Amino acid sequence: MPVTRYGIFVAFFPKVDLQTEGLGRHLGAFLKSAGTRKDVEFIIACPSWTKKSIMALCESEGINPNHFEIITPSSVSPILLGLYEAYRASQQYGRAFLRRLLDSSRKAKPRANRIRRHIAWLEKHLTGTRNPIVFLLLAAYALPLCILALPFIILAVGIKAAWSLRRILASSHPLNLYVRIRNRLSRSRYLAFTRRIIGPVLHNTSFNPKAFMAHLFNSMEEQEIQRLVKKINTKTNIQAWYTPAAFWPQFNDISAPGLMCVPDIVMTEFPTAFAQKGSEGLLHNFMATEKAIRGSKHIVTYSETTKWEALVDQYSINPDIIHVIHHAPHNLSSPLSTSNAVSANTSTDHSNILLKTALRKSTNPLHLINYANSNLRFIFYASQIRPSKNILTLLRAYEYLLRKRYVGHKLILTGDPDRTPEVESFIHSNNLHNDVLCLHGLTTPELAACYRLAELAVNPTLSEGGFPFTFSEALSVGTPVVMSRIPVTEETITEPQLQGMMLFNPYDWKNVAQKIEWALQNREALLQKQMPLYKKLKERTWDDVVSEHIHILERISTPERAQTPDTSETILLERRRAV
Amino acid sequence: MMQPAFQLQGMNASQPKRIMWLLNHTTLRKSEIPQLVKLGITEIFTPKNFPCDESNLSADVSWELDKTLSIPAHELDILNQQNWYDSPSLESWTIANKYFSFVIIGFFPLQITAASKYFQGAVILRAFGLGKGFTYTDILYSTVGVSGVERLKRMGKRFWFAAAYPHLKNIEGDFLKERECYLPLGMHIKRDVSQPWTGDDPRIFFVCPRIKTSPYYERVYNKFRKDFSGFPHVVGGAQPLPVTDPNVLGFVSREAHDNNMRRLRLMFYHSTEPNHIHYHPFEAIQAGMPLLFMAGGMLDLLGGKNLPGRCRSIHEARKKARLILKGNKRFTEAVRNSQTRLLGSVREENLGHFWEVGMQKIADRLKPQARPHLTAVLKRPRIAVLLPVEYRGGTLRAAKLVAEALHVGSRQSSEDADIVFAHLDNPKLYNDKDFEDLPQDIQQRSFNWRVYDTAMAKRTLRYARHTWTPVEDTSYYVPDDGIKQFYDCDLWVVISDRLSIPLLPLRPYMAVIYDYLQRYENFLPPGNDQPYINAAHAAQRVLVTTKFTQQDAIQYAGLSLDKVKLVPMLAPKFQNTALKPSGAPSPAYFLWTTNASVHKNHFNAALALDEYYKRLNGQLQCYVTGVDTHGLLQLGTSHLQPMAQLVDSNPSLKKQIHWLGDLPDQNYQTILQNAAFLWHPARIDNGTFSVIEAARMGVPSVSSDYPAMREIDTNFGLNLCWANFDDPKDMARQLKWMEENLLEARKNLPSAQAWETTSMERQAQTYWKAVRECL
Repeated sequence: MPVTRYGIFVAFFPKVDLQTEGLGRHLGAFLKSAGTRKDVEFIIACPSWTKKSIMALCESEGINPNHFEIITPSSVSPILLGLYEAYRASQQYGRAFLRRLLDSSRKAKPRANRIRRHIAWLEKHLTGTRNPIVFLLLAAYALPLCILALPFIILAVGIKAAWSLRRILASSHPLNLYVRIRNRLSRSRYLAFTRRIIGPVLHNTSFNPKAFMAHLFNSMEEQEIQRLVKKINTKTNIQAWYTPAAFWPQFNDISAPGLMCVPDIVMTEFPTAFAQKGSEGLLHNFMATEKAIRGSKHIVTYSETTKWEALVDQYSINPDIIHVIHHAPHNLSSPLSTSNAVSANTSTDHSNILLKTALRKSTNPLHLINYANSNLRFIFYASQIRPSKNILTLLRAYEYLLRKRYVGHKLILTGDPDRTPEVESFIHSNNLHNDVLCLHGLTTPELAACYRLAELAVNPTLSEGGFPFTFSEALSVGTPVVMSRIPVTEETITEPQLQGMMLFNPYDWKNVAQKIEWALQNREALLQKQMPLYKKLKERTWDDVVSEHIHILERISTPERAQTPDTSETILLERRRAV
Repeated sequence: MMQPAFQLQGMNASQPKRIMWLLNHTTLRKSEIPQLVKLGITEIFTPKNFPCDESNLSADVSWELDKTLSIPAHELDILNQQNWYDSPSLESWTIANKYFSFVIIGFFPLQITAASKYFQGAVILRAFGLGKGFTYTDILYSTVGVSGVERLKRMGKRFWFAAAYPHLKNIEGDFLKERECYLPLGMHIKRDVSQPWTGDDPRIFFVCPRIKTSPYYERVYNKFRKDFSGFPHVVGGAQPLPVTDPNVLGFVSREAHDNNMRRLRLMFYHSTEPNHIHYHPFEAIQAGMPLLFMAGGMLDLLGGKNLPGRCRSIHEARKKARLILKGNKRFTEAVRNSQTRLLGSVREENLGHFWEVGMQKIADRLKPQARPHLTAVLKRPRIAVLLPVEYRGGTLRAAKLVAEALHVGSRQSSEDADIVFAHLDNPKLYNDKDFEDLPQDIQQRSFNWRVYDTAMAKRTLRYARHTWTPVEDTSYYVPDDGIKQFYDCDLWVVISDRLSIPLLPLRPYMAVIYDYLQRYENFLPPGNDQPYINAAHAAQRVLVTTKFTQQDAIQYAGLSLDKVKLVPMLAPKFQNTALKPSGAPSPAYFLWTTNASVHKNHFNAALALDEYYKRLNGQLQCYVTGVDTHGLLQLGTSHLQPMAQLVDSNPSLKKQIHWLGDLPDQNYQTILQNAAFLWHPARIDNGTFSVIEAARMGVPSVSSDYPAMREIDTNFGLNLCWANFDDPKDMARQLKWMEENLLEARKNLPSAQAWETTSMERQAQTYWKAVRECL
């Protein structure tokens, strides 16, 4: 059988752990299914630093790494990255050293206090005594002590002086040589270039080493990707390339046909929130994404909504080059199965054990130390805490249900509230920290257990690239779901009756609360109504998803009609030729 | 005639093909109309009015094309009456939409706004290039604003940036690049061989219009005079203001202009602009006049790089000019013979292909796409009514009424909109009861103001796909509802102008301004209301409810007349109101509704009460109600102290006045219903609902006489009893009169039928229409 070769392009930033990234898991599912195909072979192209992470992903997902080849620009990572890793390691070592030092200083503290008290006693008696013999005895005792203390005093003074000097250097003192150089540079008309390069560093009084490192890393990443693309372009036996994200505009420089996956462009929908939380670095990534999308020749996305409302309407992308491939559902029943878990009860017991381990990850562990209720009733929303996830609306609805409707369930979230001050603030100011439990960093079995034991799964999201996994994840373990009425959910939940039962207006917390309350009261009816749809969706597998991708890759790798570039120069040339 | 290859949207080949060419530039019309005709566009409308300003110095009106139009004469008349550069009537847009699928417009901000709002076909914006350092993108942001640009973006494939040169798009923002369609600028060039160039006038012809009115052209003129000092020259071009230089010709007749073109020895063209070129260099070439031009400009792009008339420096230009002026025939002929190649690139007969390709591109994109129907309940227009400060009382009530009117009005117009009512997140101030009277379909949200610095503001707009640049070191307000910061709403209606820093222009907003009290009452330090005035200027539209405030908005705040829209004052429904029976027992008190604000005229009111009780032997007690009235005498603010002193020092007066405080609606209504009459002694404001509410309950009112109250009186037919707020004795007299003539006053109150005509339901559509124009 002839084997067709396709490439997968990824260029994640150094230190990205693919196992914890959604895109990494998507890639894992893709590779796992692709590995079973005999007619195609995949080659992964990535920066040198990503290879290790891909191998780790293969190991965790049970993917045979021999099923595909990995190409990198070089087997050796850039020196800068090595230096950075060494720096991080030294930092960790330094932190450990500091910790030890602090520990020892903590132990030394009582001793130091005793010494201080002793000195105070000596000082008091030496200065207060009227007896010459006592004075002489005390002086004879104090003198050697002073001599012994002298080196420590000199050291302390030296440290203080060095500290002061550092502050002077960092200040804009007129005598400061650094400031003078800086001012000179800023005035010079002839040092424009130097100023442009060094200026941002020198002029930024609040110079941010992290931003500087990010700048260096961006540059390193840029060069690594350029090298990678160059190498890719020498591989003429690869028919087409696929990239699972739209982060890398350089993907469009690959000479073979390319298929870019655009999961969503969520920042355009939440500009204020992302501008508040994010930094210039995030904006840089966003602009890179826009560039990648605008330069793409073929796009795949997860929903018609993303295709039309984001790519066609917002970015004027030709709809003919955008392909929609829906997700396959996630089935969480397998992570809960144990070798001897044959009955439902055993499975429940197993889930309970997993839930207990999950609860240990709560951001409010104190509350759960003595929590003895083995039949915890809760509503569950598994999601990171991001602006689009609409957590505050869910919290408002929950607070209303708890305090006004006396629905006694707890609410379990999986995001980290510490990273979202307004969520943390809402929980705190409404005294909900014992009822809203945030379990961060759950394993897949723990997640599955939470879904299984929840009375209801809820998803109040305002925007998703594809149909939310909440539906399949919950129903795969027998838990009903209520969700936002947003275009991606209506794309899949098309039956009006089911829509009426399970969808709510995510902009209206009262409507969210009403739907949750209704679903809790009519849990079985909702479940019965949702299961047939889930069974239907379940027929689609990740093998289908991979096959559809391969089908598109096949289509786009057929020779395309050469196109004349539509540049202004060509048009002017043509215009002059027409004369 | 060439058969058009493209097919206009929604029309088959047998239907007439029409276009509106909404420009008046004479030479442009001569060049572009033939291109359209060649494409098979048989019916073309051109405007018959244009603003007589500097941007239209080369414009005129042509009636010729009206003959081509097959639309009914009366509708054509309506189109011809409009000023298409400003705000044509809605009726004219309806006609335009009925008969036309395309409009071609110029870079006139009002025209762009109107076309993008009201035209339902393709809007083709002509762009002929700007000066160095300017982009259409930036100018659009600074003229039509972020919301105007957003509207253009939302038009999608219906909006086209028709650049006259292909490289113009390169410096533009993505949204213009994506919508670029190349329609080259041609010249209608006809060489009159009967009158060839003679060049017998040995002077340089330099064209520079608007010297005294345009700083740009003034610089160009001064530079030319400096560079060519000592050279004989004349300066052509229309001059709206006279220039005291005998060499400047000013406006000349066509014959004189042709004569200049024929007789003057050479033309010098100064421009090194990379994106813009004038018409006159081509005119000179066409006339056969030698053209000297500076290198680096558009003529280089059009094939002029190797021409002998090209000058790389002023020194070279002077040298070449001297040669021609001295009569060097060899050089003169070399310039003349070579320069004709420049004409080729603008000659209309050479550009037809590009017009066909460009128009085809537009027509292709207008074809309907096989788009799936993506259903969502959230697709209706959503409008947020924002209460920006912690208002209670009348303003809170007014805000709720605006929300309700929009809700009702949109439904009456069959354009159902979702209305969101938003107030500050302050549970101590607002509770659920405050909003019980809002219809259930109006969603209620609380929010907090967030302050975004310049960098955050810029990032926000960039994420929203705008390249708008905020004013340096300016902070912006963002209303944060914890959901999407109201970005899910298409329009924000801000109740009042009380925004101390600008609102981040993420969404268009309107302001409902009830009054400009600070103009009449000295309660704000100088300059402190400037942010409020700025907020009104930044709004798409300002709604006012009285003519008095409308005049203040125009005269005081300086808003343009078309920005300020007068809408009727809305009166609450006043639940549980029942007319007092005419034979009801005589009440023992009247009601004074007030609060602690300066304009409530407390001291004069107290003096009037003193007069009423002491001199006029007033028999009715005075019940005082409203926010903060419970402790009004103890508040201690400077404007309240005289009243407090008067009341405290006057035990008999103190005995007559009862301070009730802010009452719940139901209690208030009971007190009001049992009152003899209501007293409104304030000095100036936007009027008060309380007199309307009182009248609904059969209770007459004594009111201060000021414009807003007069308007309320007229609009609602209340027959108020008027008092001079500056004259406590008159105020007291009116109180006494009302006490003695209560029955007569009650008879003069409006009838139940009259109330019907002023109900919120009757006024709702006016509100909706005013708002939907900003969507």
